[in-house]
Amino acid sequence: MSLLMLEHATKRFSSGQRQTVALRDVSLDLAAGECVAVYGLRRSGRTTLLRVTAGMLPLDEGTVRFDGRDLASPGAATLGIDIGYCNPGFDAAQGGTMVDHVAVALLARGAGRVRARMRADAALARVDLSACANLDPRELHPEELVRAGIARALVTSPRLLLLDEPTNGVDLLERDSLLLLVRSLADDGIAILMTVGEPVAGADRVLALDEGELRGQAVPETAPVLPLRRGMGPSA
Amino acid sequence: MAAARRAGGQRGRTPVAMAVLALVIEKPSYGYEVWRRFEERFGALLEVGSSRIYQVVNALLDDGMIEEVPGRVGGSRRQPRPRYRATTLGAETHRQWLAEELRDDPLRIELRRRLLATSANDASTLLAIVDRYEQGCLDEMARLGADAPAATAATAVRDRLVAEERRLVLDARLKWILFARRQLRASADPAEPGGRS
Repeated sequence: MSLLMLEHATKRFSSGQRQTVALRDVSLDLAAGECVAVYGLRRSGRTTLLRVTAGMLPLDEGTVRFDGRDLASPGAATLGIDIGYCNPGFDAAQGGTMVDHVAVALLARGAGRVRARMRADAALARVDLSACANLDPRELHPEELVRAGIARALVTSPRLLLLDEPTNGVDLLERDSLLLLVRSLADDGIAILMTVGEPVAGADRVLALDEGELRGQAVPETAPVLPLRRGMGPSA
Repeated sequence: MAAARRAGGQRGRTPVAMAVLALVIEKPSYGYEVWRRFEERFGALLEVGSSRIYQVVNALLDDGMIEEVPGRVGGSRRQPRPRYRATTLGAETHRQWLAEELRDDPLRIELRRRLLATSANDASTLLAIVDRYEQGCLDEMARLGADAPAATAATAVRDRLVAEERRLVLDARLKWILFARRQLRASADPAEPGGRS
């Protein structure tokens, strides 16, 4: 069964007399452990796609279902728990080290300081950033900030990770290891939806988004194997 | 004679011939060994039988691209097997061919243009072709990085260079597809000036 399903999702923005359609009738399925890359240029609708998937933006038409639940229904908000949105931006003015920043999501949910710190350390280790745990965000390189953003999203053990252009601004020689990390997270069973502005390796499927239209194979080629009900097998 | 050899070299620059040449540049080998190594390295890409490989080896010999290594292997046999190595001309020809292969063949581009002009002269047909082309590019992008890991550090660097070139070409193609689709939509609907809102 698909973990994430977008069905005929349409999103419009208005500015004065002008109306822009950011997403047009977009449908997309994503299974656990699958990594899907959405290729698109600026203003193609790619960030809007991630934001509606995260439940951060309401749709004008259509639905987003996560694990069968309509994200628009009351109490269905899962952002920050089941859905992790990776943001490489860190507010250095808040003070604190990387491990403090990564632990914030847990502290905000009432976790104890020691437990939050331990899980933040584990998340930083998962993205191979333990050496930066006690650094100020301003000391990190762009690729390290992306890893830290992933760690911050991973700290709540999400089942779906949303990545907005993880390779943007990352040095060419650092890009491969970052994509290997993303691939390994999918191999661990996390569903990954990432937008990219350039071809990248490691995705199971690649879709293209332009002017809000999603093209490509929106549904996995291999249909989920569902157990046959008794008496419904081929011989019945 | 040299001119004739060069002419022959031009004629024989097929992917199979260049693959055989690459193999003997890498390591002098006798005929059967060339075929075995060809199967290992290129068999998945070029389906060729052993007799064809022997023909190619003979053609490369005739063209002066390869030569027998002085001294023979398997001296105890009645018919000792000659080992082949690349000549200077062969090595230079191979380098030239590789460099040309890295560029898109202008003749192929022209053929593509003429085919499109002949069989696809309305916007909807062209849009359908662009859609298929795009799907092919997206599928290719999903295969990036799916190759088996390189055996050695040296081949890892070469594989990485080839992969990066492939990725950048793919990027250019995907951007061209976006441009083409907008142009075709605009030409099909003049009220839509190349973009949508």
